Amino acid sequence: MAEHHDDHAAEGVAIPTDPVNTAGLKTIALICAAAGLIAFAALGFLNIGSANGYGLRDLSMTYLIGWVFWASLPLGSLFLILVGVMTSASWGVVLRRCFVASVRTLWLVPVLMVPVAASLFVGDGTQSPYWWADRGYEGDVASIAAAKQMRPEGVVENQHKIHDLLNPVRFLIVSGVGLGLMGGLALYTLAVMRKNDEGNDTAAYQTLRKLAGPGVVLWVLTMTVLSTIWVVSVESTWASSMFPIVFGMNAFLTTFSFCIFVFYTVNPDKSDTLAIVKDKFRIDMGTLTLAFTMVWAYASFSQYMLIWAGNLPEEVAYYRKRGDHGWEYLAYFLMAFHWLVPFVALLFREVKTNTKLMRGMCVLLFTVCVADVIWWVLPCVPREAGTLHVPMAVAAVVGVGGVWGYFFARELGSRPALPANAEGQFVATWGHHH
Amino acid sequence: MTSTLDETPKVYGLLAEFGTADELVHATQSAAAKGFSRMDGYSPYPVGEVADALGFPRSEIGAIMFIGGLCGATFGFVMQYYLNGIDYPLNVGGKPMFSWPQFAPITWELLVLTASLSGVIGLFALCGLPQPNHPLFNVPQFARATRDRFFLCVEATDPQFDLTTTRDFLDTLKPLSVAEVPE
Amino acid sequence: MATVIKPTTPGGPPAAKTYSAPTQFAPHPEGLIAGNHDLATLGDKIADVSIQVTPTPRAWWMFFLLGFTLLQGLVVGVGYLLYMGTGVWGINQPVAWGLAIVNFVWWIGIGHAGTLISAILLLMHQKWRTSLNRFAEAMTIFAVMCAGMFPLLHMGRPWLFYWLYPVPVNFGAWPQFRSPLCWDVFAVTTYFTVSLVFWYIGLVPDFAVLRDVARNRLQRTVYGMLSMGWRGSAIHWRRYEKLYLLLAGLGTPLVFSVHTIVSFDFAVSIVPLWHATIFPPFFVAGAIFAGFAMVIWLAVPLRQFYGMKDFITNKHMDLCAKVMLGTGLLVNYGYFCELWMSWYSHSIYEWDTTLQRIWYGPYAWAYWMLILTNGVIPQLLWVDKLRKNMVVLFFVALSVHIGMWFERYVIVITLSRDHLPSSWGRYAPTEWDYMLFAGTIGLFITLFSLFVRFVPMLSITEMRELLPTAQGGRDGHAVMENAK
Repeated sequence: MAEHHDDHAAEGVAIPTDPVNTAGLKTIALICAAAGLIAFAALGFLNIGSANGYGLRDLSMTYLIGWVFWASLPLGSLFLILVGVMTSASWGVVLRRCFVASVRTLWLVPVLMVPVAASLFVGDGTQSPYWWADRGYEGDVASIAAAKQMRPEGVVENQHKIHDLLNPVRFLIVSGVGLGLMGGLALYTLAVMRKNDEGNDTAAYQTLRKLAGPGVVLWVLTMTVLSTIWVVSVESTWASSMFPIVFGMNAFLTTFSFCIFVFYTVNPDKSDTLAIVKDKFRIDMGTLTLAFTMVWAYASFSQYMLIWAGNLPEEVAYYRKRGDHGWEYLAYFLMAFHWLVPFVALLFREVKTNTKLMRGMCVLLFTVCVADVIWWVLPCVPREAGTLHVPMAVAAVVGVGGVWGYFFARELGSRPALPANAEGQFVATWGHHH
Repeated sequence: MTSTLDETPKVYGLLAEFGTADELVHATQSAAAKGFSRMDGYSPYPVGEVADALGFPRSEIGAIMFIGGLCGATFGFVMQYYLNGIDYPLNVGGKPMFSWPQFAPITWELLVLTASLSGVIGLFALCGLPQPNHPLFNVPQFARATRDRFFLCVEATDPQFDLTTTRDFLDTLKPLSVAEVPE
Repeated sequence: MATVIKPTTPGGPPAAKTYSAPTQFAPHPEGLIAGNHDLATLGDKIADVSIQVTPTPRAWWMFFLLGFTLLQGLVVGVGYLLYMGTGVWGINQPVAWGLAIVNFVWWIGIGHAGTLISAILLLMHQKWRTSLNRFAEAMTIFAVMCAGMFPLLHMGRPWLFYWLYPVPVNFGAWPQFRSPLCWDVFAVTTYFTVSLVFWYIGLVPDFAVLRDVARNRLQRTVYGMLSMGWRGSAIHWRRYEKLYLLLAGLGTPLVFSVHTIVSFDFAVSIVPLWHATIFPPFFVAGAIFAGFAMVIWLAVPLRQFYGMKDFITNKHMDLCAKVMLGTGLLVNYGYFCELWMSWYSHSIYEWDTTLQRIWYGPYAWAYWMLILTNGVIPQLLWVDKLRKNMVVLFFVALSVHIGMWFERYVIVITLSRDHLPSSWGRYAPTEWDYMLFAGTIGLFITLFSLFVRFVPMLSITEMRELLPTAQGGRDGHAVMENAK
């Protein structure tokens, strides 16, 4: 029984008090930031020549992908902290410091949003990632319908949308309010959590548990609205009430695979920290990863099947665009690697307990999460052959990730890898009273 | 149970009774170390270490259910396409004959159904159940195998089995009782 | 029977340890088992009900007679329906489904908590599910039986139900496999079969317990047959545990898929507010919500009248209440998402139907009834004190039953308002609709009463494993860790 051996090895191991060494992480982040942003600028510049007058739009749209993708880490971490507290789950304790470091970078989300916000006002809005920023929707329905080759009903719907919600000012107000709520929730959660971590304050722990339920409710409602205006609104007529769930699952999987990867990387196999993280806890983390891929696949398939079967023009266009021009291969890639391969691999506890294999799995899952975000956003407009939007999107993800990763590493390096409070102690001594 | 016909009286084995699961585990391990191979442990709930000590580390059920499920899913998918796409082509709502997204639900259900049923049938077939009567039921104490006692039965078919020496060996394990199980 | 028993003449001191030492055990660390039990007393407490040692409480007769009386409604309702045809129900165009599908979804949703408890919570290492899984699974099976009644009868000629299966018959046509109604047939059949074998597999060792404590020949024969001659062999147990774990592993996605497919009955159409991509998880959450309300309803009398408070502790009720609150929030999130996306999409059809549903339509009262019973009242469970009060819990569960019924009602009567006023219509169930519904409630109560009296209502084997090591158990070391 391998588990028992591990337990004995961990006997007497105290929770390490040295701060995590993140020097390597910082270097990698800075290299990514420099390389990614330079490549993004260079590709963007080259693309302007071949993009038929939409070079700036490609630039802002690919940047949007990088921003939305990395925004899901601090936001997803906030959710996972709350759920971890609510369910007293072991992964919530093991990965807590990663989650906290990630939530502490939440201020970067509005900062990094600035280019997206600015793009709404460039060139009458035609260069923003969002169709609704286009001032061309102002005026007479019939002529707009003719100019844009749309159904008149579609134009009317779009005009209403622009009137009600989707215009630059309201978009920014709603985003600001949403991020403000998330920020408030994050500040409060972190403050209570610090009290509990440092003083091992049980009253603070009770507050945290009371906060978790309403916090999750607030998070879910806010993110439903934010994911709708940030991502769904790149498409003009498409709306799907399943999408916020797909978005959420992708965000949780991104966060989870990133944090597990970082945790197993900054804490080498022979370290005291990994002696504390026994097989049982590794299996729990792996199983939750499996669950996220399953729910992602369930939500994505149901959404696809229902829209495909319904075949309504305003909806099915979403998948028509994504099943053509080479995007179908990305869809097959997602089916294989966002679901089938991790699903089969993560059924085996040998994979879940082996840090090397699990790190490989996390890199794979993290990559497919990027691919999924690209798939949501990039195919929404047709492009000429030879445009560089795909490498640009990848460069944007790498570049924004480098910037975000640097601040994340700085936060992570400020404290030890595991909390030394009662829950941390529980994890550290688990299995010894047998 | 391939003993010769003239051997009398027929004995199924020797049954040792223990009070705790740990003692049964220990007894099984000792008996295995002694070289006994035809034996079995009996307990009111599963004690995995006993099966380990008996040299049965992994059951066959996983493989059976995997194959069963795979067959069911393949059959389900091919059946739907063949019946609605080839044998009697049905055009409903302009959907293609090969409507894989709409064939997925029944494929899945048949996977679960066949995997489950093959697992259940596999369990009973491998365990030789139903078997309403068994020599062990001739021993009155054995009724407590479903209550609070743990039993180890060394069967007469074991090459090392000998009524006296085996019994002496079982006595060294400090059982609550040892009984001869009539065939 | 001539036995050859020779009690051992001890060479050394007889084995010292058994589990039935008359000690006072420490209270269970997680509060999952109360009382002072070892392997034998725990088994006896549960088994004594089935072998008729425990006197049948008067309340049992009241429940049974209530159920049996209501069951007569089913007999009369089905008889008249078959004689007259489905015209005796209130269904017509445009609301062609009516209570038949409302009740179908209501019942099958209730069933889902049984699978959730036995399968999903098992995979999630939730030890507390052990005290609930047996009767919750029984609830699943009986609820699916009640559910299946409605689509069968709605067909008008139920004896031709086999047309729904791909049986090679001589008219050469096949079922239409692209239809969610056909998926339903496969889903419900599979669900019923798998739930039944899962339940039975769990029962086999318990029937062996009953066989060995039986008080008369009849009991010994019947329970002996049902136990298949189970003798607790370590080899058999190993296979058994693996099967149990894998059935749980399959049951988990199965329960999701079944209610997902039920939701497809609506969502694959293009009717506004039916064609909603959120429907699958929204329906699944609703099913578990309703099912936990029913588990609470069943657990309260078992605790009260059969004295099962030792095994179904206050802790269990609290956890059930929390799951109910959580899944209720998911259901309410579904209501929010429907409104939000309908407004956001600015589809005139979606938005108009939404306004009809919540404001202008003739059934807006039903929508607000739903919000009150499913949305507002369950929020009482946020308060610790109210969660621990059995009366409050019972009434919140009642509110959920009503609310989940109205949820399906609200969805079904969406058809009463189309985009052309000429195709508008009203729907009202007749007394035959209600009689059939009451009849299935009677069927459920009758079957459940009989189950409680003749079958171990809690899993003896798994409860024994849940006992702490000192009391002879395995400290809840469950199948998850041990199956190989």
